[in-house]
Amino acid sequence: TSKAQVKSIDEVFLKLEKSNYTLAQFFRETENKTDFKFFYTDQAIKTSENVVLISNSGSVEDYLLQIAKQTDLSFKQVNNTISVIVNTDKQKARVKALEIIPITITGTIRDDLGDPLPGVTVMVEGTSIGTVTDIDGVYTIDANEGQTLVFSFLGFQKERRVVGTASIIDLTLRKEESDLDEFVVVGYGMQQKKDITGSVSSMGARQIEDQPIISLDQAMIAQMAGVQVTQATGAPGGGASVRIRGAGSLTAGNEPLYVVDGFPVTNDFDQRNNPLNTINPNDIADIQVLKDASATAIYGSRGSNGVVLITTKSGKSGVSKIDFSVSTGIQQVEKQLDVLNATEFARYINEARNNAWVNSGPGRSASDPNSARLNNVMYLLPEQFSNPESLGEGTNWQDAIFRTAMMSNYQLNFSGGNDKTKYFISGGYLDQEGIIINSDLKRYSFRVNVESKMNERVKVGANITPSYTFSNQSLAEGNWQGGGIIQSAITAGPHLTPYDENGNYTKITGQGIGTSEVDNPVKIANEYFHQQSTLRLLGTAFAEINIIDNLNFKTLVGADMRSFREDIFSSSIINPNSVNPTKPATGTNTTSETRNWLSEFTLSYAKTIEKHTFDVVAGYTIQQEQFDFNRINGTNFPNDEIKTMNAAGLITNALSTKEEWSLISYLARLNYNFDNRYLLTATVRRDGSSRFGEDNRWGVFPSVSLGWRLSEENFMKDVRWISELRLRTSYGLTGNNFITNYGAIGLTGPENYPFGSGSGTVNNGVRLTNIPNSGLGWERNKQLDIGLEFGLLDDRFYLSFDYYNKRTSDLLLNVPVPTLTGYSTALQNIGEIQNKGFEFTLTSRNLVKAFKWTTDFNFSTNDIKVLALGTDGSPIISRQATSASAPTHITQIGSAPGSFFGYNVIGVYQNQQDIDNSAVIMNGNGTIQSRPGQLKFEDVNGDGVINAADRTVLGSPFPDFTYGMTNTFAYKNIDFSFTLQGVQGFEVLNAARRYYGNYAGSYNVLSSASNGWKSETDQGDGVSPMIDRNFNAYAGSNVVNNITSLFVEDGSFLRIRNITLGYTLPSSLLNRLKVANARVNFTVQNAFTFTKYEGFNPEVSAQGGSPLVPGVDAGGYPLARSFMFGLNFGF
Amino acid sequence: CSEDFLDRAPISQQNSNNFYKTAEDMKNALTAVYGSLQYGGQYYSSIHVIGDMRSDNTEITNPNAGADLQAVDNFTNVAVNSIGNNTWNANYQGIQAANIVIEKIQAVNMDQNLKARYVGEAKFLRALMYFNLVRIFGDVPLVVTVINNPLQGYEYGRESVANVYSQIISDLTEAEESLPFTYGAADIGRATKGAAMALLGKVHLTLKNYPEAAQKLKELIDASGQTNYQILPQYASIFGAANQNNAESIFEVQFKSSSSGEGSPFTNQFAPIGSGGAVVSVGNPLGQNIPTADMNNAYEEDDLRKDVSMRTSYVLNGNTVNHNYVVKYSGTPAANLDSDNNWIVLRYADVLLMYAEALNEQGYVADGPAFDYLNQIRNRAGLPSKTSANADPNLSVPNQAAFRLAVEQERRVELAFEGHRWFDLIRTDRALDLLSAKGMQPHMSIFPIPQSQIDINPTKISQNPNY
Repeated sequence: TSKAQVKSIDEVFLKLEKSNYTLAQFFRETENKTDFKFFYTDQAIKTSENVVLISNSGSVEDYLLQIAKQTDLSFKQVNNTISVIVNTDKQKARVKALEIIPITITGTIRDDLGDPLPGVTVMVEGTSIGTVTDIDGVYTIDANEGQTLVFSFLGFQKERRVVGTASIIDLTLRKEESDLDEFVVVGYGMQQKKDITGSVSSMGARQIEDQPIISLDQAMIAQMAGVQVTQATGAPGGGASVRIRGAGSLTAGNEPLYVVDGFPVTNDFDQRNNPLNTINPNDIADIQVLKDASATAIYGSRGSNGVVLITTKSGKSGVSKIDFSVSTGIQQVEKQLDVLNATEFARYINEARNNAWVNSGPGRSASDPNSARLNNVMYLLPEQFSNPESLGEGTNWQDAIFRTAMMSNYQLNFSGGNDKTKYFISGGYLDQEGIIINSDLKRYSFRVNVESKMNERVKVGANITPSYTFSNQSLAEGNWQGGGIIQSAITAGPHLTPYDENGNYTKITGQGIGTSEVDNPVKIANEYFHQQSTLRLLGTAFAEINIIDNLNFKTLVGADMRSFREDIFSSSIINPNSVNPTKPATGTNTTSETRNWLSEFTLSYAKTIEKHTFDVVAGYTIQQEQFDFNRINGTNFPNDEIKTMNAAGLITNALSTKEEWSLISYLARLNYNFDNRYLLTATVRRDGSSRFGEDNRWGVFPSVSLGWRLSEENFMKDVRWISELRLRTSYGLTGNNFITNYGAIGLTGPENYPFGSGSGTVNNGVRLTNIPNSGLGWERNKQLDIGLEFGLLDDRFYLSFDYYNKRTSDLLLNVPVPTLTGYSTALQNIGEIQNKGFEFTLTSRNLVKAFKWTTDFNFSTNDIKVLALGTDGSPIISRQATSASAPTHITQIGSAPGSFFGYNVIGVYQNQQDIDNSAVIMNGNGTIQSRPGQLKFEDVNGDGVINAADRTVLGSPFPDFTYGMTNTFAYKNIDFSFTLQGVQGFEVLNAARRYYGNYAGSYNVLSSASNGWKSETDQGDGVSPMIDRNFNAYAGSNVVNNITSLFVEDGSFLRIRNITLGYTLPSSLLNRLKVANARVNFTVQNAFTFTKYEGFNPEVSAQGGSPLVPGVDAGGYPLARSFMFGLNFGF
Repeated sequence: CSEDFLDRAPISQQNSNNFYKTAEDMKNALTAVYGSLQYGGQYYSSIHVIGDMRSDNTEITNPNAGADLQAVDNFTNVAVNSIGNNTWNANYQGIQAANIVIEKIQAVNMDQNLKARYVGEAKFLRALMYFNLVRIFGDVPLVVTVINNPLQGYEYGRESVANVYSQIISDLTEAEESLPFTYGAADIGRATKGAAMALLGKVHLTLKNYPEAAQKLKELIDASGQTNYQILPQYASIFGAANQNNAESIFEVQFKSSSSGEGSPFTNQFAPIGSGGAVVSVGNPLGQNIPTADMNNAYEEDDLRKDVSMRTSYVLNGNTVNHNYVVKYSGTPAANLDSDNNWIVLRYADVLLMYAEALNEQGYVADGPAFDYLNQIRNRAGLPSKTSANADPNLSVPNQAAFRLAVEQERRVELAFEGHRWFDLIRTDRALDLLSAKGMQPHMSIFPIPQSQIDINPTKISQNPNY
């Protein structure tokens, strides 16, 4: 025991070098030569003069006695500590050895689960006396009555116990939940959380592991304030769009910069080929989202959309572990739309034709038989619908294209290390079927992370991540005319079946009853061939050299290699929008290869001088990317069997291009901390980019932030219940460089001309196709952030609050220029957008005893507004590609960019008098075309006529606020958590309503759109116009081709994103099973969505959410609700 | 070194920094200047819409044709009009292409004679485009250097007509010095010394610099030994795809069918609407440039040119349909809007008539040389000579004023549907007399400046009066 190891001062002898010492010198020499430590104050020895020792050999006690005689000091030995005491009342000096060791205390330390904790440090407070617990969690220590024992262990909360008479002190240590002392990754370095003055949100592996997601962007949904993640597609491998504090750009992209283990990954983000899906989320240790300029300016010209820092897992020294986890389960479509069944469809079709007939001229009645009607499918009642009831339910096409799909994820990790080397090696296999038949994704991913100390001064490491992703994509999204499976399944006639009695696909086009030629969605799903594969190698290697104390040099090199291949084959038998059964098959093959290289050199220095702590980092990085692209389009395939391009009889287009870009940067950061109270961070980055004009190639991006930890001030020290109170503010400049690689350069294109005798020979001519812009630069983003951090009761409640105001100016826009330049438009830096809002995060450990309950809540608002546009401020009116011909969006000063644009429906014309008193639609010669039963639009300009000038803003795709909440409960070995995701106050342009809600009787429709106006006394559902097969009934601003407010729906929703129930096996059981840890869990993802939105998923954005045409639902791939069972073993 | 690292020229496309380095590059760049002549706002559409349809020669009868075309025809065109807009844009597009050749070629190491010739060709084309701009819009921005930056575009305001013309004259004078009279077979269609002289004569005539006009045109006529220009015996052999670049032709905009984008539209454009395949067998008839009744009546009896130039009826499904239409550009297109027919910009008959006009303006000389040139054109058309005192009052040209009208009449029928009439009437101040019945007002001798160009730079670009 410790008692036996301690010798008394009279038992220890030493030989001194000399006989004339200052007290400090003597103490130091004694400490060096013995196990004793002196405890004294500076004050105590400052007043003392030099001491003279009579002999230079003897026991420690001998020396101390001599010193006591010459000074006012007494000495007291407690264990190995010798306390130095100033004799205040001039009493006689004392030298006392081993005064008292009255109590030997022993006990067992356990964790929350009751497992013994080895390695816990047990100290007697105020002394250097201490010990650690053994393998069984048992300790023994000697202490005096009234002294305090401090129990500490990394990752657990410190505990204190005052020594009384009891000789056994058993204890349960609680996991450390406050992470303020934790070091987190910031750009080009690490920083303690309590010292961060920028706005950073983070999430750890714990929040990722239980989610059945395939890419890390999906993992971030509802987790962090100011980070809005929109999962618009449920396609296997489909990504999500991530918006950090709104959207500041119109053309240069709004996705954040992702930095994986120090490597800034550049990507063309879209929802079908999401490059993040090659990174296995199970390998991620934590994600830091940098939001304000203080945090992002170190990424300079790429920082304005925020930065997502991803750190992957690494091994821990001393713990060699094998972890195996498997999760498997099923997925089902979260929701089906309520469409008409066969009987209702037949009634609806008949009503549309009867109304068309009655409206076609006077004296015509709905009871007229076909023989009395004009021979036109708009008027004739289809034979097969003469007895609607006989058709029954018919086919639910949604059941036919959706399936219960399997998903499995396997992961094997090896990790471990010693004091020199740490490693983490993982292999993962993901196999996901899509909920639409014939769509799936497989991913094989590997990771090797190693780090080794070569010697005291040199550390090297590498992260290598090969992965292969393969998917069968489906033609889910888009209009039925292009074969969009979702739209086709909603609009296909329910009286038809997918297969005929022989098991062949039914031809459902060419019915000849005035319905549109929607092709068989089951056939499209099965026969449309679209494969994608990506082979990727992302790797970094680093060396860190400790040049002198506190000064480190680090070099990091990395490469991101991606090889992509896509094969699309549209079979001859897929022929939507045509009465013909077949068309020529077409095929496309695309391959691309991306090679991205990074070299980075940083020098860092950290030092504490009394109350001043500072660290600086300075660096130089270069990065470049080469991109090769090939695409071949072909047709004239002999049959549908061979789908590769070699079988194409005719190559219709072949393209082969190369591009590249490069970036050179210089960066520096200073962190300064005075007395833990006042914090300063200043950063600057200077970027040179090949993308910008030669006169504007270099940009400087500075930021500064200040923090004040009020809780460390003396006047706050006594306020015990406040554990952290920190004010912070930052201001800085960042940029956005996501424009085309050669936007600043004048490119050439062909402009040929024939010369020569006869009819001439075409000579090659070359002209400049765009005006060079040597001044072209990055978009500039200036951001102010004011934040408050507030921890209560030892951070049991922790609040974080931010206000931000971001102004993005110099938008990269293709704007009109005087055509005397020879060009009508040019890419210029013109325009400004503002995003401002509040963010609020609360972590609350509501219950911390045996039953634990933690709530994480985040809430954010964002107000987005265009402040300036183009040279003359004229609005940008855009059309989303799935719209017929009418523009869908407007971006104008004073509103949100990409606001929905069209006619505002204010009702239905009830009668002639209503028409006479309302604004009306006229045709070219001034005849009024509006009729009772038709939609009445708002006369925005008040001129009595409804025309294009009456189009107005119908809504915004940007939410007023978003929120997320995770509640975690734990009792003994059982844990339970659920996550809510809320997005409130935004609209969706449900463009597919043009088909499944169009009142024309040419498709199947939503039940809600089938109850149209019939007469003044029977107004149907009161909002729908008269159903009429004759499109011309909606002349002028007809509801089919124009965007109206009926297409714009409130998208607000609250989703139960994740429910997880877990059970951790107790150690008693584990010992028998010979495993270190084991957990089973059951998870439901996307359990339920509360929304008024009528489409599948209010989180929409056809075309990848291009900023000018966002928020459009063209029938996207719906989200899956998944039920997963998971097992996790550690050996 | 870092700047080198950041210099990333496009790999799959040439660009303004690495192109324009060799003689071959400059040849390609010059070809593109010629290519701009084929733009809709130049000789593809605008010239006939403005040169003939706005005048009393032709009209648009296609009710479905764009309102903008009709507005130009009937003098209701306003500042927002695609014809005006396209004309402005297309000419400046060509001018920028010419400026690039003229400026960038200086640094190219190449044969000095060839360099001078390329510059001469580019200056001829630039002069031609400015000549069209200044005649259509009046004061126009004068850009003679390469625009390297969008912001430079905002520095240009409208330059006075006089300044624009001095640039045109200077360009043509230089072109005349450096261009050859003739080219080898492969280069036929390029601007010649003769073309520069003819255009310079026309510019002087337009400026009413009659002595200079006469002198330049006479020089050209006297150079016939070198130019080989002649009045072809048969009027019919001037036109049609088979007769391209003939001995009477001085400068033509070249078109070639079946070569993706190089074909001409005239055969389809000028066929009457509703004529099906009766007038043009391939593609659609578009009903533009339909000769007016007045034009039909302008031809003297027995004028051989009429049948070569226009018809008054066609036979569709066995029925005769009475409808005027232009046949100077007839033929069989390879596809819709894809014919071989060139557009003649300058030809020798025009030169002779201009010379006659210039002589007459300097002083009427009864049966002098001016009469000779006028009658040379008339005689080829099978018409008797006009003289100072003729028994037939229709053939008698007793004074200067009468000779002016005689030239005007001869130009109308000789050069019908070749894009001259409107510009001739403006040049001779006769437009208002003849066209006020059609709606022309005094301010309409020039077009409104495109509104888009005023909107984009209102401090520098102003509207023409009364628009």
